[in-house]
Amino acid sequence: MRHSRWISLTLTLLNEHYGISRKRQRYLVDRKDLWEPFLIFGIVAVLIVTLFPLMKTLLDQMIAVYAQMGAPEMVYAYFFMICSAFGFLVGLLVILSVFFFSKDLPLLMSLPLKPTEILSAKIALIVFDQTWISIVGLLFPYIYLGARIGLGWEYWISGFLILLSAQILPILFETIVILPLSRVIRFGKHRDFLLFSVSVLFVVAILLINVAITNTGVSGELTEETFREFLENPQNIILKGLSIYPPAIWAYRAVSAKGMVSLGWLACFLSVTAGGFLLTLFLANRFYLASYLELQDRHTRKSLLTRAELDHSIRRERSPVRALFIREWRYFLRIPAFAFNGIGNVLIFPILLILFGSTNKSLGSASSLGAIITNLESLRAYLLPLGTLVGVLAGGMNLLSSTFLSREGRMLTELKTLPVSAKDILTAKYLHIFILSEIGPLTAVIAMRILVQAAWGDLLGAFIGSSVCISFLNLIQMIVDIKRPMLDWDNPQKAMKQNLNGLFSVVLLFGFIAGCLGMGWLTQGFLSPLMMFALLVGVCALGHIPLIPITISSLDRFLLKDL
Amino acid sequence: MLEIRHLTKVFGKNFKAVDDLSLSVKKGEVFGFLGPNGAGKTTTIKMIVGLLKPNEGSISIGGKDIQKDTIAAKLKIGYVPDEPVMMEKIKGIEYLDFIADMYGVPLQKRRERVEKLTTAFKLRNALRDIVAGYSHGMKQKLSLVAALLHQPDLWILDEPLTGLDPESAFLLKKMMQNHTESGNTVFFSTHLMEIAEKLCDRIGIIHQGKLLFTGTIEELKKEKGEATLERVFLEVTGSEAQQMDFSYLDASE
Ligand SMILES: Nc1ncnc2c1ncn2[C@@H]1O[C@H](COP(=O)(O)OP(=O)(O)O)[C@@H](O)[C@H]1O
Ligand SMILES: [Mg+2]
Repeated sequence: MRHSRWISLTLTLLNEHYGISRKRQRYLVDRKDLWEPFLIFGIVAVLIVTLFPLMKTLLDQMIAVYAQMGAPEMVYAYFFMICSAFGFLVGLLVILSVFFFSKDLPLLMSLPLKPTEILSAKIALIVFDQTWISIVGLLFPYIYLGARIGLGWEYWISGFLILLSAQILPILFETIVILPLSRVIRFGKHRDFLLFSVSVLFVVAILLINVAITNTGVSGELTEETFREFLENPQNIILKGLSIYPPAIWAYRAVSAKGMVSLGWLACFLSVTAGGFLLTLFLANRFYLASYLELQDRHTRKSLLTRAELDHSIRRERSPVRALFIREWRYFLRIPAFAFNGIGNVLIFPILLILFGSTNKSLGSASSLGAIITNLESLRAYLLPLGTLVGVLAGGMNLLSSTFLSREGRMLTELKTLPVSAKDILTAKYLHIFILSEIGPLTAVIAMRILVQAAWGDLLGAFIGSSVCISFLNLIQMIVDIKRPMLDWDNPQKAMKQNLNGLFSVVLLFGFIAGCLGMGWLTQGFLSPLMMFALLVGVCALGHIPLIPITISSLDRFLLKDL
Repeated sequence: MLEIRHLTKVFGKNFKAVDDLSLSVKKGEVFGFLGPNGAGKTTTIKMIVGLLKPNEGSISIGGKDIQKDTIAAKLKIGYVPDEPVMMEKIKGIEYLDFIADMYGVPLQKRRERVEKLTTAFKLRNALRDIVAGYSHGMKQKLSLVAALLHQPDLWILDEPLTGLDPESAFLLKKMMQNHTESGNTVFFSTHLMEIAEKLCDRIGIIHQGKLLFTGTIEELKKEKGEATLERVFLEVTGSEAQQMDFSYLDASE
């Protein structure tokens, strides 16, 4: 009885979350907007076709390296680690918004459901969502490695089950941290924001501490002793690298061992997952409901607002652009889903860099990134144009420009009644997005300095160059969002995550970079790297001349239209 | 002050929510826009403030066309929507400050008006809190204050009295009258007859998108020979409510 209720709840949540009924109605019954699913399949197909050779080369290289050490299954563990890390990063925000801030919670809370039922249904939803990460990041390496080396049934069974459950542990771990934490944070006016920040800091801190601890064990100078140890037993060193995230070791043991031993490790992995789930339910019972209800309380004061206080709050006159710019920041920062998605998207590149860096460091120079960087030495002459593209890649994936109007949602009516021009609105929004996306070029430049000791001139050039290109791409994405904004969202998370315009921006960015690389490859004979750089930046700079008026006039027209 | 010429709004293929509507509101008038639910009041108002685009017709506010001279026209309007739309995660005072920036209200004036208006509406102490915690009525009051900050020439209110407590409703009615005394204009929609009867210099009755009547209440009563505005209204809009039999509601079983 209770069991079937839980299933019904979970299925309903899934249906709502993915808009399954709505999509079925639209595509299958009404047969409207059929190009949307086709476009998505098309893009996925193109991505698979283009990424396949790249992935294959990378995998071949990695398999060769690890097979030499007698541990080809490390490749599986490596991608398992990366997927888990992604799950950690992406999951945290999803968890917080789904557990505490989703719009359906008041309804669910009023139904005769136990907190554990609500929470476990929500966890199922999140895990389902996150498993895409494993499917994208782990499925291909899993199949390719198994087929190429010809691994036994233990590998296929363990690998498959671990792949399916890989995203559960990160989610559970974060839930276990957040639930008690949410009881501690109950002060202040911007509780939701506080809850988000503290949780993020907490999880990041735990990860960093873990990285630090494991690194002191392995890295440092390659002394004679560690080198000898490495030669005698390479697997130990490798496993030490994985100990940043112990489940990765169990996963490695499960896919690499034979017979009962393999199944034993698999059981260990799965039972820790199950145990984590039970612990989560226990904590949910104790903390969830109370925290949720408390977060709904708002801070109110009864004391009189004095004239002095009022004068202090109303301090200066601002121009419309300035006021809109401040509105933009407030709107962005005070809605946690926007703040963390937006900042997360520009930080994901730097974070990945640190993560790769540290894993590679602990895995020793034999690993893939080390090899890639060594290969890059031959490309050193092209540092300026390539660095620029890295900066574009890091800053261009912000999802802010491609959702700049969509994020307004219902608030667009406010914007439409205000006596301000489209130009003022655009200036404020453009500046806000540009400032945030500059994190990308900045980190790219820092990475260039640290990894390949680029010269200051190259760094400055790459910084300015990628800023110009990003601004160009941002404008294109803004125009697309003006043409097809998604305004009827109920959950701010959806405005960014389930927005087709976001998908478009990813395609645009990768297309741009692939195009530039292709052009560079074709022209390498007769264009100097400096010329390539100048051409790239010049085209993007000139592109602003038509794009700026187009953006303004399309927003102008949009603001006159019905909502 | 407000000139509406042959205004038409079509939703979907051929549903005329507003149908060839023309009216003018003079400076210093309180104009009541009456009609049953779904008559097209909100649709008309949204076109006046630039939220919807008319299919035909024109609207000018103090001589400025809302479609051609959008910003100048908007600067003359103070608009209070039927459902308050504002940022939730912002403090009341931050919202008012933002609106004042938008309309270029000088610093001293904005301080004074914020203080006086929020004190009058008993909203002053809540200014420090974020809007998300406000009740529906409080949000509506904040929206009213925001629409008055720049002393608009034309105040446009969509069903302003629904949702307000009696004290605030009384205050609002007084403000609407005061607003016109200093030479400004008020245009508001309502389906409450007694309000219209008490407040309006002139009224317009809209039904199924068509304007059936404009003029003073006296003119209307004379024309129709009915004693109360309510009866006139029911007659004009062709309601059958007067003849309906509601006894089934009380039938006990
Ligand atoms: N955006 C819209 N799309 C389609 N129909 C609408 C829209 N807005 C209003 N309508 C319809 O137009 C008619 C008038 O609505 P409205 O102006 O809101 O009435 P009211 O006089 O109660 O304010 C109603 O029948 C309503 O259903
Ligand atoms: Mg209405």
